[in-house]
Amino acid sequence: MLWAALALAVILACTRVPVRFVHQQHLGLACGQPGQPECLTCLSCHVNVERAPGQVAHPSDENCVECHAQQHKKVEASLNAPRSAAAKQATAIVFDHDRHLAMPEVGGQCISCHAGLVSDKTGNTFPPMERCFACHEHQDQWDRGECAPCHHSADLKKLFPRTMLRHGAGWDKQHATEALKTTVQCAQCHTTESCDDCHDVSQGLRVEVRKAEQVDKSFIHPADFLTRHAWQAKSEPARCLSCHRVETCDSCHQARGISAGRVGSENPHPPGWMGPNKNADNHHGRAARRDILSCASCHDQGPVTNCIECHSVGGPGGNPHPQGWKSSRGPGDEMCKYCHQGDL
Amino acid sequence: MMARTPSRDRRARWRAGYVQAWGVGLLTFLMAGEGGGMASALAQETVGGTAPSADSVATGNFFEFTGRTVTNVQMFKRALLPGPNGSIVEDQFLAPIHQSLSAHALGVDSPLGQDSLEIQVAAFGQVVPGADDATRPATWDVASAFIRQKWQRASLSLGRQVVAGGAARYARFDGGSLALSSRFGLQLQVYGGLTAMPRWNQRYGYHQLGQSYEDWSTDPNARLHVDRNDYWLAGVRAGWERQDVGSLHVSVHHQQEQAGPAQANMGFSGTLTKIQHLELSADALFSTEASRFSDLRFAAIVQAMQSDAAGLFVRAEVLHTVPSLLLSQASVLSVFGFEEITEAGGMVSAELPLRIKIDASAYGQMYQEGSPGMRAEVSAHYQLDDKDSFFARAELGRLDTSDNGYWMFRASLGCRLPKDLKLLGDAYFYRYDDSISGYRSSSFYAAHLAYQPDAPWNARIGGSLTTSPYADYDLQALARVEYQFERSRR
Repeated sequence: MLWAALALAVILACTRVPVRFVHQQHLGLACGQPGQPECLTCLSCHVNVERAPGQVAHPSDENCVECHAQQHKKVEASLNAPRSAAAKQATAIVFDHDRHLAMPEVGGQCISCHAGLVSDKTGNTFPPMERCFACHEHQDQWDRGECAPCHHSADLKKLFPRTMLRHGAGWDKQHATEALKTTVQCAQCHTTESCDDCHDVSQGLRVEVRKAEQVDKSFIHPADFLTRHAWQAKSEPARCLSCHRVETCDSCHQARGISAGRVGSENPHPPGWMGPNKNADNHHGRAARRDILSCASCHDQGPVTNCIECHSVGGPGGNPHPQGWKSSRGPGDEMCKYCHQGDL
Repeated sequence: MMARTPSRDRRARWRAGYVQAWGVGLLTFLMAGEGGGMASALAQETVGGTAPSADSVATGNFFEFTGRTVTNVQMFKRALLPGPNGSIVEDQFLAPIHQSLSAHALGVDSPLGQDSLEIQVAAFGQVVPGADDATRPATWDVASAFIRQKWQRASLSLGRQVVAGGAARYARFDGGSLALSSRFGLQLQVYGGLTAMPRWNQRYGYHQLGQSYEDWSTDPNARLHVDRNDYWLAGVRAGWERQDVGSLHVSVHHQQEQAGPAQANMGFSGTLTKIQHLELSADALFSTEASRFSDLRFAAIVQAMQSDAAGLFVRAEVLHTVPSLLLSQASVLSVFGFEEITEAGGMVSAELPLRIKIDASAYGQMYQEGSPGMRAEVSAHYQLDDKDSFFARAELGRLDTSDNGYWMFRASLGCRLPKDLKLLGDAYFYRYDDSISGYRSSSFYAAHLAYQPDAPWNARIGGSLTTSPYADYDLQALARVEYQFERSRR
């Protein structure tokens, strides 16, 4: 009940962000007739768009108060409302409005590109890239996924793809597969920092801590991961090794005294784990066959790995290699010598 | 086993200086670039300053410089060794300060062409005041630092960088990488260098990708003092790609460690995107050391109804893997068996009208030894608008392994408060099938207050409370300040 009450209080405290500006409402005003205001065009408000190529030329509050003289607070709230993420990104692109408006195909009409303002239910302010392709013939580059040099690399970094390479539903689960397929395409928009922001395991501060406020995301090691990490690793053994090496596991296990690499460490294995002869309980062999990565997380100690005390040539543990074992390593291989001291 | 010698120490110091020199050198270059230097350019130009027309772009050095600094301060009490059967353990109070810095310049002109040069640097440092012997009091490292020069359809990257995908899987190295592409979609990448090692090999618990043993081991015989020249990697990747048809790539990667080859792989990957909304993909990793496939994956992906209002993503996949072959092949345990795991499953992500999103996934594993396992999750998200006024999510998960399993429930919410403040909450509850040290459940609660003005900087304070088999109460606090600056010269 306490938690429910707390959650309800939080929800009630949430502030709905005011709408920044409704283009459709203003462009659809009854106008021009006696008793009606003067008709608005795009340039009524975006007065500087022709003179400031590359700029969005947002209107100032002076434009608004020409009509909304008594509504200073409302105007102020609307202009101060945060822009959507898409709107912020779109202002990053450099576009020469003046040059385009002068072209005969455009005919000075903003709406020929910004059709979404009046036709789209979502009131999309920015034209889709297909609109650019109506004049600019770059289908070949599109098919190859080449964004530059039409887009400057600095612009691409801030733009969110809406058509090609759209990061839509399932992208948070799928992006790794796409990124591994080809890094060339990702690098058009993303820097190494984009990947490292979440995936850099060198930092020592987990991404779940660095980005704890991103509660809408699903991270790899959430909440009390320490308790569950052994089972998670069993469930997805190959996944752990895509970022970590077994030494990462062992450094922590050694510090906590449960690694074979630490002198006098506590044995975490249950009774019957390892026996001196074939009649004894010997669970460790089966566990190792099933999940050798778990073994390696403590026992991978190079030439002093305690597994090879029994499993080296002539040892009581017998040959650990599977049936049909073969290797391309030469007789001088250092790792082979750990067990095969004199018989190579 | 190699003993550390004075000459090795000198080499280690030289290498340390090399990494530092990279960082300092790149930053110096940034500040003393051509045309009077970037520093003077930055002083004159501001974001949103006068932009040139399309014609004038051809004559100016059009570039963007971005820097970012993030400071995290944590506060917590910890006990390194959990007390068995509830015994009292020695705990310690720590307040680590973690600082990361990154900067990049994109589209810088060079003698080889307009917008042809990229520079990227990222580094971090950490200070732990009052740290005991078990914790390094201070550490830092350079995560990446490289210059990329593009020339027509070729690019050359020099410095600390990452290679990902194909036979390499993921590796960080100090060296060079040459990438070539043709207008017909052909691509070729050749790379090589020294594998990135942990800085000074000293910090407790710290492992850079691709590194080997560290000095923390208490068994002196297990210590392996590394000579960095013994740790290198090289590879080549060739392929063809076209958005409307698909892709095909072949790669070879060799990674050497002191005790022998760590990875010697061939990679094959292909995708078919010819059918609208459907993508078929196959990836394979072949170990040339063991002469067998170590990883095989087939996937079918359906992406339909992608629009601003709705979208559907479905992925079905089968994975067959040999975990021992994914270990470093210089590890003696890598030759102990070739047991295989087959996993099959899929996921669905649906973006529905009214800003509701449903995600579901389920995977089952079959082992050659022992009972099967599975994991599954389903979650529902609701977002009030695209300005983060309100967000809520509920998630249910299940994991089964041969040892234990659990049910998981998660609830999250976020809402915007006045004055650019945001309140965020996250709660997890886990119920274990078999008790751990007498406990059947864990829970985790976190709350954060974020200040996110429409400005280059933001801040956050928050804390979490965990109850688990290893701690009755684990209270942690964290504060973060982030500052990002961007300067364009247009």
